[in-house]
Amino acid sequence: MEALDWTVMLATLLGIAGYGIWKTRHVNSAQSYMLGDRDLKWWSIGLSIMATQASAITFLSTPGQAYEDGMGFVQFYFGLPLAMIILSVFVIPNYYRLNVYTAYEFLETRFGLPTRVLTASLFLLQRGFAAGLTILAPSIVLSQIMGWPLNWTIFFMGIIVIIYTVSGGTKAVSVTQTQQMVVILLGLVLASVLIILNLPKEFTFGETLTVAGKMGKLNVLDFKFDLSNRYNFWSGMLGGTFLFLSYFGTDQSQVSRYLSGKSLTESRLGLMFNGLLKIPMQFVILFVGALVFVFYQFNPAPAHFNRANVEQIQRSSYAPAYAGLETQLQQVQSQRQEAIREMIAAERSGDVQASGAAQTRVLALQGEDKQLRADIRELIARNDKEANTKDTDYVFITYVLNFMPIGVVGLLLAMIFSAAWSSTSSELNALSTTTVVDIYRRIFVKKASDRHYLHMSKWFTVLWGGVALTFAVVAQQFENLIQAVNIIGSLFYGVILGVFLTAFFLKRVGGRAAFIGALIAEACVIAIFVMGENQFGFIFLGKLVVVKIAYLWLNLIGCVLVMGLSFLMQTARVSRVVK
Amino acid sequence: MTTNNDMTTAGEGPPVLGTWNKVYLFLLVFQAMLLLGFYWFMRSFS
Repeated sequence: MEALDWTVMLATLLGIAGYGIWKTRHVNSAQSYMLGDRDLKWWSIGLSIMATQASAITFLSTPGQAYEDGMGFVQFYFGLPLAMIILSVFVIPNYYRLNVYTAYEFLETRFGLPTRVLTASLFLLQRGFAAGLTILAPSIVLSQIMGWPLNWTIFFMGIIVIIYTVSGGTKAVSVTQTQQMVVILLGLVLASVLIILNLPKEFTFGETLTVAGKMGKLNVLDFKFDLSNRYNFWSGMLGGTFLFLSYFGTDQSQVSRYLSGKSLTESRLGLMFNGLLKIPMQFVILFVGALVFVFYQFNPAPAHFNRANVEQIQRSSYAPAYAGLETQLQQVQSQRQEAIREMIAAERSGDVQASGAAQTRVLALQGEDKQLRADIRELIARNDKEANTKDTDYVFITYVLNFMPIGVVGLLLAMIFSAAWSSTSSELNALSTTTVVDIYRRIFVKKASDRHYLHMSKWFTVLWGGVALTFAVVAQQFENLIQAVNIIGSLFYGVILGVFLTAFFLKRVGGRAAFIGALIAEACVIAIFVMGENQFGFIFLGKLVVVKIAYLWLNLIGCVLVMGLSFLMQTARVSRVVK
Repeated sequence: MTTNNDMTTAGEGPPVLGTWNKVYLFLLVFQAMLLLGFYWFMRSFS
């Protein structure tokens, strides 16, 4: 990385953090610290909501996902606009009416303290874990690709965000997020334009898209109903709606964003803003990945995108085997280039048959390419059993470092760090607020001065920051980082959402039934997930039935189970009393 | 801790389109158009 890149990156990041600290230097009450004086306008809320959701993983992993499997991941977000509408109609007005600090506070008015503490604890558990992952995931990628020491990367990734979040609370989060989101959007537009300009000049833009399409990278929609398929239209619309209802409606890191709004109208508009822009934004990020794929069809692509793994194997006894596979891969790539050129030439002349034949050849060579890459991954794993062989998270950053102009590299790295900080700051602030409001103030120190709660909020932010950093340092790597975050979320979100929906829509259900229903439902969701992951099953009519359900559906299952179980228990209880 | 009691909760219309229902409908129509666009995009280049 050049000096100019370092200057651009550090000036952008430290400038935003410094501005956040300076702007919020007068925050001196617990309410101001936790809810930020409730003065945000809709566009600021919208940007803040988007910035909270978009972590660094989004920008590292998502283009790589499109590079590998195509753009189908965009379907994951299809339920989001509907979730925004449902929240605007049913949920936010209730939060405003009760003037709550946290989402869980609302539950006590409906079900009593145990349910409030249970849901707040589930949130703390999963969000505390996710906060560590939010720091760890990009740190691993950046340290391996840049050659930075992992612990120092984690430290830099975490320490500045902890400082400004502790300093200004939710207000600092909002102030910095607005600017971070501007950097993110600017970086995204710039990256898209530069990638398009880098595409081979011998083809029109439409032809490069045809290459991506015919090689299966523009598969945005899949209408086939398949419970085990992670990303299709139905899992996005149904499972996704429940996931986003839960994430935006009950996860304090998001609830605190729109509760900082000046009024109900501003909060609702903030959600609408998110509903309008989120899918197009994800589409653009995935599209960038598809374009990088096309770029590498005409330029030498690394045999493996994780440089650290490559360097390690080149120093090992497997180096000759690796070199052999690399040479084979280069030959396949050059044959594929030729086949793609034939395919486009046939398209230009309108020769459908020749185009089809060339496409078949391209796809066969792509299959060979995939196989050779799988062989290389196997070689890496044989050399080092601990090595994370999945390299899709390294695709975009490798492209940026090798083909983006000086200065832009710094800006794009600032974009990745901004994304990491924007989500981490929200998470830390929400963890601290929930700990103080739902646990500390409610159970341990019920009556103390505003100053005391303000100080405790700051100390809990430091504590959660420490927990996240510690987790990031000691945690094991996950096979796919973005999926790990979503899977963890799906284990808890459905149940939390079920409790909230029961509170909103099943008026007859009392606190005891909701509490027990939530506990049983959580146990069932974890059991279903564990059974699917470990291929466990049960004997039904003499046959072994293995339950394998894609994780998005766990949101729906958890939610329905809580509502159904609590309703049944309440009904049984009432009928017993009547008898 | 202090509480904020001046939060507006009722009788607020959106600044555009007149009613909230129209805003929600706009969002749904926008998504439907987006999906149609995706479909066209996918079909055109594959």
